[in-house]
Amino acid sequence: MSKGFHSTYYDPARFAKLGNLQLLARTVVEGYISGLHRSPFKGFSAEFAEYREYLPGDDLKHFDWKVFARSDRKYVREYEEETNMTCTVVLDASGSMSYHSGGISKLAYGCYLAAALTYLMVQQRDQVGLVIADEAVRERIPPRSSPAHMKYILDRLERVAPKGRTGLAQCLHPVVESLKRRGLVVIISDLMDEPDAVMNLLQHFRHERHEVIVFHVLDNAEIEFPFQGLIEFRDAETREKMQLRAEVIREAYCAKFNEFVERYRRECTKAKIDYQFVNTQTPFELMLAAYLRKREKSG
Amino acid sequence: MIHLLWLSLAIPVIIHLVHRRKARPMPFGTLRFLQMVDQRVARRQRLRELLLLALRVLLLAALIGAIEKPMLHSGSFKGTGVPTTVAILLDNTASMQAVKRGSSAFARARDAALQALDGLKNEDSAALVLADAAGEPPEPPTTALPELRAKLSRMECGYGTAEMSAPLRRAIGSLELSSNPVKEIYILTDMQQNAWTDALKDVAAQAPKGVPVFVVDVGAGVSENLAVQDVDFGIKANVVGAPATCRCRVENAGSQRMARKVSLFLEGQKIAEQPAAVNAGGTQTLTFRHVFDRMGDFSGYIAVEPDELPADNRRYFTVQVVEKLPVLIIDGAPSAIAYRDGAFFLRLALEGSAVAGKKLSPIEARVVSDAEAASQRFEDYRCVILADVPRVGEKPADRLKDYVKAGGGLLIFCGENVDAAAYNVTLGTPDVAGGGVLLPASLGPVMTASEKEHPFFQIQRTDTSHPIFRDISAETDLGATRVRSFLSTEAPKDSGAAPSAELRASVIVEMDSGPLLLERKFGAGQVVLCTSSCTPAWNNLPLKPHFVPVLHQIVYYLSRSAGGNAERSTPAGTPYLLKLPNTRTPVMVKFSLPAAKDAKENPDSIREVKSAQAAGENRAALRDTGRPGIYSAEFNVTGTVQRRLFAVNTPSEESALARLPLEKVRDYLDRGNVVLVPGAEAIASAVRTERHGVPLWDYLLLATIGLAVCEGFVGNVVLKR
Repeated sequence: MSKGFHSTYYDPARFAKLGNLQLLARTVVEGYISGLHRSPFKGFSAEFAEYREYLPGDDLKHFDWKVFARSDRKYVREYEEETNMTCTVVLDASGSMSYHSGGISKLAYGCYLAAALTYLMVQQRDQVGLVIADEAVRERIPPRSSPAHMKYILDRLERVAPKGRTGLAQCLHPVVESLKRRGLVVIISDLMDEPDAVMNLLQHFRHERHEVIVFHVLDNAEIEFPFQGLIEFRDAETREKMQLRAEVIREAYCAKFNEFVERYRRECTKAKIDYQFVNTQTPFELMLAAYLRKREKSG
Repeated sequence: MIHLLWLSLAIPVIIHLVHRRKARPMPFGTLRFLQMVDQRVARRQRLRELLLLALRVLLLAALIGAIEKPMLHSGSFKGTGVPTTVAILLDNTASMQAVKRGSSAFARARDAALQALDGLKNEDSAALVLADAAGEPPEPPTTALPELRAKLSRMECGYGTAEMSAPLRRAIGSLELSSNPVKEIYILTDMQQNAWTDALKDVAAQAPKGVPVFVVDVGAGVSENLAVQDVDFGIKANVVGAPATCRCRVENAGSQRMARKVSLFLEGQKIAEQPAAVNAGGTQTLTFRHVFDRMGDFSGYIAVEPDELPADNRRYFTVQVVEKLPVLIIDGAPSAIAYRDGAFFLRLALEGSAVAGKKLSPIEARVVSDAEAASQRFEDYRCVILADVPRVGEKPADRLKDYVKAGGGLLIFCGENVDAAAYNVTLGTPDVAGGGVLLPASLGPVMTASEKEHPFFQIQRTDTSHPIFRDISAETDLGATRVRSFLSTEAPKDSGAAPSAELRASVIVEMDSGPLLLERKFGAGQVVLCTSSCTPAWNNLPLKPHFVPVLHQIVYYLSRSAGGNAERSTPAGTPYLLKLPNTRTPVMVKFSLPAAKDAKENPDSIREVKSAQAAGENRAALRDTGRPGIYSAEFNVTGTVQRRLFAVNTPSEESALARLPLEKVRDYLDRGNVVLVPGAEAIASAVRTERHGVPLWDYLLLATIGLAVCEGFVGNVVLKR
């Protein structure tokens, strides 16, 4: 990274806290260069996989002469390929992501997270792409793994502004279709959409054999609803207003909200999607480091 | 001005709206959860806020309503401003003088009456009906309310008695004289049980429908009331120098035992004093003895020490003291032999013996023969005795009847000379002028005891409660009397209907075979018949020591009514009828009321009344007998001015202070709109309720407090749930 580079979301001191942690794919992913992740292809890497009958045209350096000598059979050695990963970070930039109750907004938090993930990917020489969406795909940056690409992504994150309604569930299906290689899809969103539609989208990703990680970013005020007195709530997306006495509805609100979160958690687990609940009060680097360690341990 | 306060109802609404606008704006991620919640909770929240708003508006409305003092009008409400007439029946009988907690029942009733007059306007009218003036015609209601109030304020309680029906009739009559559309009757009374009779039911039924009757109980339970109920100087004609016996009966009409001193006053001087201790509901008779040192009319009273009802603590009396009692003995069997003479034993017993030439007996007996009797004026004697007179002619019989009817006393002794049939004809037939039969019983054949089986008749029963024997029963042994012969008797042949109880003959002494002594009232006088003789011929009575006192008692008893006017006492409030000798022209009688010590000083206490003929009698009636005390009447019939004293006393029934429970009033006043007011202090609200309706502000103030509590609960607890 050049010395003159500056980005709000690029903070080497904070990124340093991630240390040597890596975001590795749990499933096999398809890359085009050798990397850290298991590939669905058998190649001639160092990791032996199996024998295969020799076919004309096969490279003779993989021919197993010892077997031929013992059994007069012609086999070639095949090795499991390790490849790099294509990670697509989907950032929800809808209006609801602009909300914050004092600290940073959910969108800013998401940007930090996206930047950190980009950093990690580039460090791992994995490809990382970015999709910014609200109710439509606002911007799509194809995956690359170069530092310049990272700079480009950071630059784009710098300029992202919250607007529109949450509509990931509708607008990301074409994105799913367009992903040619199996890879890692990281969704950073508050998921303030219809849960069924969102789960459909995630299932779609899974169906295409992508590994999916969902960072469910929420503000602490949304979780605990700590308001008091008569408050006129204004919807960040629709500008709709509603006047309520906060203490009266707190209990019912929290129940509904927990039900909403638990539903995502439950259904994601069921669909083998890595669901991570994120409170913006937690510094993103700590949250991410903890997540990565946990992921590492669970294999 | 108060109406402007209603504008303040907008205050909570404005606060509510302003408060809603003062909601803190807060951007939020999404309202979807709030909307999900709001559908259930927020709607409830809005309802609670509206409830709070409603409570606050109601709170203010209740408060302003209370300030406005609204009234809830009852069904009989006619509207304020409608001309109203009230009839106030004020119980001013003697029992209303009962004092409790420093004020008399009458004072409380007077205050209640003034309160009933409060609120009446110029066009309204009122009539004051006094309970003890029942005989007066109904007075038209007056619109001069200030004068009526002034009159009421000055009014003092009377001493009379009355039951409520007559004054209620007067009250209804007064209301009927008014054309005002709204009419009310107020009965202010101490609820004395005696005053509430069944007659009230009929009277109450005559009251116009829709006229409310307020019955205000101003009485209170009286615990201390010792009443002098009766004063009696006995049968004895009081004679100068002879001891006179005065009996008084005190009754404890209170609810607890009482000990008080009872005093005898004569001519304003305290003569004697005795202690009396009477249990609740009991009576005690006290006896005072006094020797009069001069003849004439005396007045006095018996007084007990003060208690809660002062009206019955004093009882007035008059007593006539004479020098001698002139008695005429008509001897029907004169004889030269003294013990055979018909009047010998009588004269001996009545006059007694003389000491140092002076006869000690107060009785001065004059003996005349049957023939000489025609020339005697019976009116000159207090008592006439027929001693074995064979027969009484028609003229003498008429004279005797007139004499007894005018108050004279007649004692008849039978004997062997008496012609029973002639007696029955002349004295045993009904008087043409009315008054019944003079002879206490029709005389029959002579009953003589059988020598062998039944040698004499004995006395079996003596009415020892009779005034003749009351004082001497202890020292008189009538059982020793032996009667050999007597005239049998049977009930006289009265004309037509049976005589009244007062005129019916009664047996005083009865033998085993018939009456010995009978009596009968005739006119103002009294007749006593002895069926046996006054000589030893038929009995041994003249020979017995008790003959003297018994004979004296009989003479005193019969002499009591001498003078032509036996009644010397009348209850307060009852007209006193002074009977006068028949004259051709009306006699002017000057009555002096007790307050008048000197007529010149206080001419208001002098009443001059002309006598008039009524029921065959010449009499003057004094109606103004409201105050107890000694009254006097002066008149001139025979050329000389005569003065007669009489006493007016609180009616005995006023001492009975048993109270009718207020709720029982409806048993007597069977009307829908009887308003029972438990005390004088409650009349103001009862009147206000009847005239203006039920005051709602009390309830509104209660509602205000209740709403304030609810508002606090809803505002601080419910809304924050």
